[in-house]
Amino acid sequence: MVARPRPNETHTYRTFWSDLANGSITVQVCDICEVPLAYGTLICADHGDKSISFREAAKSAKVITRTRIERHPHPILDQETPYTIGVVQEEHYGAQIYCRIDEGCGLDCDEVELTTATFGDDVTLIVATSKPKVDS
Amino acid sequence: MARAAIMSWDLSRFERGSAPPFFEMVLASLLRTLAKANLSPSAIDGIITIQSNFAGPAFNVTIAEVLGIHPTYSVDITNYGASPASALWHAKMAIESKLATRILIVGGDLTYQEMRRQSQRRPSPISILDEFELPYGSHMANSDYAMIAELHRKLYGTTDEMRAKVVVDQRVSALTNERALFRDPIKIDDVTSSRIVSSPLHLLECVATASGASSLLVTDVANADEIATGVPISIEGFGYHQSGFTLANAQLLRNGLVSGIALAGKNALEMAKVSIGEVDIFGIYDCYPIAVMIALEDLGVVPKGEVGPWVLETNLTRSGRYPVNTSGGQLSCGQIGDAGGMVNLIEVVERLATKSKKASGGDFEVGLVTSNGGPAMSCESVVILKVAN
Repeated sequence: MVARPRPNETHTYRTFWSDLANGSITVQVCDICEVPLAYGTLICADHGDKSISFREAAKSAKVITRTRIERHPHPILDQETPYTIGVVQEEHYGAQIYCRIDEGCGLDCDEVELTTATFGDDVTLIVATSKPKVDS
Repeated sequence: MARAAIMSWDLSRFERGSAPPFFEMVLASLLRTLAKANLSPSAIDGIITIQSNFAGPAFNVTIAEVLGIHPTYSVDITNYGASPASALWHAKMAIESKLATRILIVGGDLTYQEMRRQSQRRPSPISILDEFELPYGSHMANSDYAMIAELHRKLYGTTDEMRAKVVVDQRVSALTNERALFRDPIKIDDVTSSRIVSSPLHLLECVATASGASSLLVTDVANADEIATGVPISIEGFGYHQSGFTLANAQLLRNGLVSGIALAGKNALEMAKVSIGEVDIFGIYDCYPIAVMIALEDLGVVPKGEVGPWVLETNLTRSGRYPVNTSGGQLSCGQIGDAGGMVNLIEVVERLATKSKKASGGDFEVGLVTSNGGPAMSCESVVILKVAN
């Protein structure tokens, strides 16, 4: 039986994924230069690997780019189509994050809020949603 | 002192469906390249392979065994799709430093459907992408290039019609190429009305995977009796730049869509002592038309952000001032895995070696070839080729 693609949850990122399952989105930041590092990068090229920590991400983010997937060769993902994925820039550290973008956002909505949602096979992912409207 | 030059080459027939057994298909390509140069396998002392999803690691060692040779230089180039141009430079360095005298560059792969038919082994995963993109439903290169195209639209107003023009011009070139998989004439409307695969990319903007093999022979330019056709082609300049493997880490999302081709191209042109205006023919890696357009900007053919209107008014076929992918490119011929760029490379080699004529008169003398690797213009190589004097 074909399973939904899920993270490898390598030793390095096990805590990241378990935090995410609990609704906490974290980004990697170099403790010395405060520069965000992409997931998958294991060392700050300027300061060495012992200076990285996971920090709570800001709720707000801006969409850099996105695409709506109409079909997918993977049968489970194909059942989820159409869906939108994108890269957003988290507001506090400036981290660029690959995520799902909620269909309710619409194609022109660039200001988003970062949340989590659980998909098939109990996989929790980062999802960008429309920012709640603030009453003036 | 040895001076490396391309002497012979081959592209197999590409197949979308059933293909010959993989290693037989690759061997056949190698033997055709050798036969054109009047050489037997025993004359070869160098092997450079382009990473193959089907063959797996150490493809180079396997190929040497397949050929029954014992090379003194052997390496598998694993820069994903950026491997073909990189392989050429490795060959030049090995020949000119006398690590080998005759090198075969080999590339080939199977479609995923054909891989499953020929073997039960699953393609190996790409770990970082498996961890951070695939669970989100990434469509790999399709969705990454779609997001690059979407950002180009957002920043510079590049429309579907502008991207489609690249596909249409390359298809015009494919009409006379018997090796092309797609040879029906198409119009811009055909591209923009084909179904959306990953917005904003349409089906006819996405390269079709194919099974096939390719090879090149690089030796010392002095070995004149090994020239297959026309004149030898020298390898004058090279540049490489990895600017972020995963899309979220790609520099081009932060810098206005400047890809690694900018630095790789600058270094290659400087090394070759050639200006972009002196390039007669371009083999631009064309997994998607947006890849071609960004490459033309980053090489300095057209300023950043202006490529959309420029392609609408520019003839990119062999009869224009900027001939790009004049065999139809991968978009018309198909993509044989990470060796896909051999289509772009071999087309430029053929045009230079056979002294094809420019629209403005005179022969094509200087060619520029790019190879893109990874799902998001992650690693780039650029090579400058010239008719050897």
